[in-house]
Amino acid sequence: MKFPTVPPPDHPMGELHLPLPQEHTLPNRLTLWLIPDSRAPRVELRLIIPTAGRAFDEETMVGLAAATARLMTAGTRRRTSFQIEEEADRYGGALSVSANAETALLQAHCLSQFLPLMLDLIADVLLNPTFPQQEVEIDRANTLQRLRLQRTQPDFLADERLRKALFGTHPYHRLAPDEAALQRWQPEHLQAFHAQHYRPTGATLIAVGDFREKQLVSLIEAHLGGWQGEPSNSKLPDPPTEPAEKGDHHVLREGSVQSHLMLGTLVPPRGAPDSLELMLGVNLLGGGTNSRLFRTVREQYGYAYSVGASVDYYRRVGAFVAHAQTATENTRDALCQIQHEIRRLTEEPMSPQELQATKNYLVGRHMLGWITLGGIADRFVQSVVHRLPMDYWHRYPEMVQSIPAEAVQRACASYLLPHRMSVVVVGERIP
Amino acid sequence: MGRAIRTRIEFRDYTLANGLRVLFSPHRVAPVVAVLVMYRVGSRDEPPGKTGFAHLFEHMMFQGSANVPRGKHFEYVESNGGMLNGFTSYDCTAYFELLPASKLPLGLWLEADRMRSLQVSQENLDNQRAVVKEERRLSIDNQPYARALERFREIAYDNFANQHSVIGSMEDLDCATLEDVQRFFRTYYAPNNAVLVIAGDYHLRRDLALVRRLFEDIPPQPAPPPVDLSEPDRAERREIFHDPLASVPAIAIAWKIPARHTEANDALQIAAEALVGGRASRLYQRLVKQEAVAVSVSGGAEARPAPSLFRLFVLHRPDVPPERVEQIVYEEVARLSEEGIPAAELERIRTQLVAQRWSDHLYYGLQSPLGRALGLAFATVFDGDPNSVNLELERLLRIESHEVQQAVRHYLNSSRNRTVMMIMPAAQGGVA
Repeated sequence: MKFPTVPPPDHPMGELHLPLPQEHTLPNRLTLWLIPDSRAPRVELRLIIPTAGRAFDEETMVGLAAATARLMTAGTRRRTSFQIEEEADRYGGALSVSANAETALLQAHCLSQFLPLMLDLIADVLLNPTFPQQEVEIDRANTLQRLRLQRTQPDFLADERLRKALFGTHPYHRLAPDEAALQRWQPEHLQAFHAQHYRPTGATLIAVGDFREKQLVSLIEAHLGGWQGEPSNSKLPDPPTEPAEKGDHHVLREGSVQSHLMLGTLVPPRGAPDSLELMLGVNLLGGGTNSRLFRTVREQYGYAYSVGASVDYYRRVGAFVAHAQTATENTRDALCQIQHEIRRLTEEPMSPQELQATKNYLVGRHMLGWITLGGIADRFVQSVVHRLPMDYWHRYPEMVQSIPAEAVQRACASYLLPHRMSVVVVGERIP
Repeated sequence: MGRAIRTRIEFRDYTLANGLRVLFSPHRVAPVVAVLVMYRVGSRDEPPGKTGFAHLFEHMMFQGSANVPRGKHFEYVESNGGMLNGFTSYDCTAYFELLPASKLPLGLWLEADRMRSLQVSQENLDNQRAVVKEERRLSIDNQPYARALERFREIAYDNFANQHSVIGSMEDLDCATLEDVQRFFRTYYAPNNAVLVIAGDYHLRRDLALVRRLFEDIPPQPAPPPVDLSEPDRAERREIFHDPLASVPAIAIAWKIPARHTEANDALQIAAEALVGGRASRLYQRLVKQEAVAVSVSGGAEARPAPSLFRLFVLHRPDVPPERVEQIVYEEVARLSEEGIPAAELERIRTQLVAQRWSDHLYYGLQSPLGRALGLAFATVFDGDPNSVNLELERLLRIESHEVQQAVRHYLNSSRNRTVMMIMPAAQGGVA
């Protein structure tokens, strides 16, 4: 039989089953989103603390939120840091707390048979951290070294500079701790931050995996029912809607053989009007290997290995970012090409085929995100952080598919204009 | 551990008339299917003067074939809602697509078309050469520690086949010709030198028929020339590397150890978990917490189908001499060799090994069809038996303390075959 010159016809396919979480609210106002799913003998847990992220640091203590999160697992009234790590390992799991821009996130997983024990460990870490002096000192010294290391890495330097250019003095610009503050904080500062922000009111616990819903609700009530209070009223200033420093910014990194380029501007947050329209345009520009940036900057000109564009979402604003890493001598040409592609997106209509390809790409990626328990959990973390309706992801494919080309182009033309861009180049002096 | 946890990857095993091994592995939690082709070729097959070629060739596999013009591979996969990638390692090269189940015929057709009719022009070769050079700059030349670790491998091994990096040198990349591409394709990209895995949501009878229709008439080739991967026994080797891009000092230590699935390598997998497997591990606790001399510790026991490395990498505090870090590492190795692993610690390691099989990772473990496909492909290409992915875990879970002790005593608690590199920072990395 002759080899077919076009792909053979598609197979018929079953529907993707997307579960909806069962919502419960405990008397202490902790919200639970539970998704029983026995595809793996494992449970994924995510606890979102809404006001414990980096943006809630006081000006004089930048880095404290991240240190508090990191050091929650450094000792409790009942356990040393080693015992915490050792127990998590014994349950076939892991447990960590980290601070994002606005929220703090406790992430844990374990083999399902150990879920009651893991919940006991989580409750201890959440309610009783002691921030032992010795652990705080080790963390201080190593954070300082890590900071020195990060300041030698081009991607960190570019990210840090771009955030400053976009957000100015707004706390969203924070990425790394302030060194003076790092030298200053003591266990009592961490205790105070914890006491103020790690409260059940407004927090959401997501569990996905092999468990029985009723049993899990009672277990959580037993372990976290005693957790009380609400976070003290923390409000963030309104984020800017225009980048603080538009135009070009060069960060000198001596010895570089490549320039790390980042272009960015501010766009609407997830769930806001225009946000999906813009997301489609950004992915047509730089999402994946069929995007315009990949096809031109990489496949046509060979300027870069890695090139693309995406939107980072904060709760009340989004940041469009395009990036590429290119040999120092190609810096200007690569930058011009990226700017040309962005301009083309705002000025020229896109073909229906190209838009449809991008829609399918986005919907396809969405679907692949539902394969694993953690993928499902992380999807709903997005829903909680960005206050999306619970069925947002269920409606997502239909919402994406129904957006007309004109709406995509209108959104791109409103937000991705050249004069709204901040451009960061990290590397050697450009010839 | 309490109740038994299932960890087996099920599969059906076929060999086509042209020698192509075909595996089907069912996993129906979502209407998704993984298509993976792994070829038995890697950087180890590169002769001197051609380093980086296997990886450059991997890029060429996306540059067009008889029915798939340049750029169309990406478009076909992504505009149909799939994802794709490829990777090259020391010992194998793999290509895969993760697709909506309805698009399985497309994935099979794309892989068959490039296996039978790769078409490469000088222009495409030059373009991808430039892209790979940027990849080298991005991942090695412009990063702290990366050049040091590339050099480290060159001195840790003694045989050229094992020494050189996958990404290769700029000079060798410049030397690659179109004729090299064609010869490499003929020699290594033959159906009898590959395994095709379909994992996820498929229909066996229907899709096996489709596989036969698309792949079975691709002609086989003579087996590729064997490569000598043997490593001589030798005394310790030490080097100081001044890294102009690094700001924090580091030390890298490695020992040459036997190949995967030997008794010694299996036992050293357990030793690696005890020494550097996470934050409860012995070296993390001792170096980062108790002695407070290190910033981070990483490492592990490679399981190559060739002499492998047991590797450690420690970022340490600038006020601590690297010799002190080194001494602590050796103390912990000696303690493991003398005292073995207490039952509770061994049980914890076993639980982690089982749990890791259910990892959330898209490329690894049982939750993802791609993870299942990759596990089976490695087992088939490296061990000749897909089931070795299942047997391997069974063996690791049976290893006892005295076996770990014996392997550590013989391979790690000694300066024989050891390589030590102290990486001295030259950059300021000033804290702003």
